[in-house]
Amino acid sequence: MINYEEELKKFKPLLDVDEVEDAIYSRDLTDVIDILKEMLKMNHDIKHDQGTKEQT
Amino acid sequence: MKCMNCGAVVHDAKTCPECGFDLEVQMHSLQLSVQYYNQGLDKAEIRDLSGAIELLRRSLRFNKLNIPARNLLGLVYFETGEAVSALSEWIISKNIMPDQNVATSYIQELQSEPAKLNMINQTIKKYNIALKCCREGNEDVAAIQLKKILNQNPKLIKGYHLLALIYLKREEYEKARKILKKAMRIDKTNATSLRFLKEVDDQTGTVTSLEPRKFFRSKREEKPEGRKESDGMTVISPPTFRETSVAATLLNIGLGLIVGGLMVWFLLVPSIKQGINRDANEKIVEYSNTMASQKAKISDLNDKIKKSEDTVASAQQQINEASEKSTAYENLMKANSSYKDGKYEQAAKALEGMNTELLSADAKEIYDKIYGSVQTTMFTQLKSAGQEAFDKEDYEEAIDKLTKAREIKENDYAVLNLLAHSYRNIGDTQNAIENFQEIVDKFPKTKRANSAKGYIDKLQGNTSTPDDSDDDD
Repeated sequence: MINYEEELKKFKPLLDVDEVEDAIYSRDLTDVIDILKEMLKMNHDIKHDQGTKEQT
Repeated sequence: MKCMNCGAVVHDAKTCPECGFDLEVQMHSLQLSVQYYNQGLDKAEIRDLSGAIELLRRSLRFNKLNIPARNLLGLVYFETGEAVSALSEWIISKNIMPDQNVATSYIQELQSEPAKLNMINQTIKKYNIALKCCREGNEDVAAIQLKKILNQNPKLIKGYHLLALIYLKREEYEKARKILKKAMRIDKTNATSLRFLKEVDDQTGTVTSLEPRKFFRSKREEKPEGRKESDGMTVISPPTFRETSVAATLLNIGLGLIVGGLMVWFLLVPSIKQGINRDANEKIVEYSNTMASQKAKISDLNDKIKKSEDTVASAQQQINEASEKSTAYENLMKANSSYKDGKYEQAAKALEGMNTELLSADAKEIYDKIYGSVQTTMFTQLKSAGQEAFDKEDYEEAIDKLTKAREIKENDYAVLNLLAHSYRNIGDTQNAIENFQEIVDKFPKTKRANSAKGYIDKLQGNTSTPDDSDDDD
């Protein structure tokens, strides 16, 4: 049995043309490759930190 | 492909030639992106738009630079009525790859039709208002608004969903079914559409058929010529040979004639009838016009006849008047002649009954002169003759003369008295009483009246004795 009130909550207002710019800027365009890059960077930073500590 | 470690361009190598980075994960990611794009394309081709959106989003999650996937996602969004989401994808796509990008043409096409873009924008705004109305409990207003929106923008799938939800709340399940079927024609596997449709099916107990009506085609498809299923095996039978016989030819000719006849009956006959009716109507109009003109002519002729009759009557009247006038003048001449000859009685006869209005002023003067003179002379003569006859006891003669004299002069006592006594003497009591009464009336309170009254009483059988008659003369 469908609950009208609950279903109505699922409906969100649509964006109109004036809001395209905001919609684009607020979009999260992160993909898997970005995540991998981030991971690589983090890994590189960790290694760099460890090398510095060993030297000290 | 660019190495995600150093950014160097790599062609079909598992490791980066510059930095030696293992590119297997990156390549795998790109392959997955392409794979999801292909699947999304397949879904879009069969109008499974929800499935296509899901797969294309997944494709972009693995590679945000997958331009075809992004463009297709925009196209699918546009197809579901979400123009703003579509524009967003195309603008991002254009920014990533400014040259040789189909997204540019999509954007240009949309911008070249500002009226259409404005219409889409208006429908989106109205949809938002309708949603607000629903949340405020004004479902009736929202339903009316949504119907208008869907007429203008029949691709707005969320509009169908909201309208269907309103119908479900009102328990108008058939309307909801109809709306959801329309939504399903745009997007076949939309989860919301399917869920609402299931609710409709559960409530009505009828399963909604989403298959298009292909009655004739499906029948043909079900029974392909020469193909039969028999015990799980497909038996191909040879096509039947149709021989054309004389009877079949005749039958065909007969059918052709019948069809031809029916075509004539249903196509030609109505037009012929229409033509006949039109002609008849034209003739009726023509006859009506002719009749109207004839009536007008008759009316004119009647008027002319009436005028002629009036003219004749007036001429006749003038003739009569002229005749009367001439008669009057003739009589006047006779009277004048008789008067001059001393024949007063003839003169009086000539003047008798003359219409003096027909005479001119001069003629009237002559008439008055003769008439006055003749009257006086005649009265005197008649009175004398009456007296003389009375004295001779010729009462009949006396009555004749005295009556004429009285006609000329009514108030002469001697004439009235002699006349009354003449009647009395011949035994005409009634006329005698009438004449005596006239004396009483014309000469009241005189001896003449008393005497006359006495005679009246006597004649009526009373005892009183009147005095003798002609005392006062």
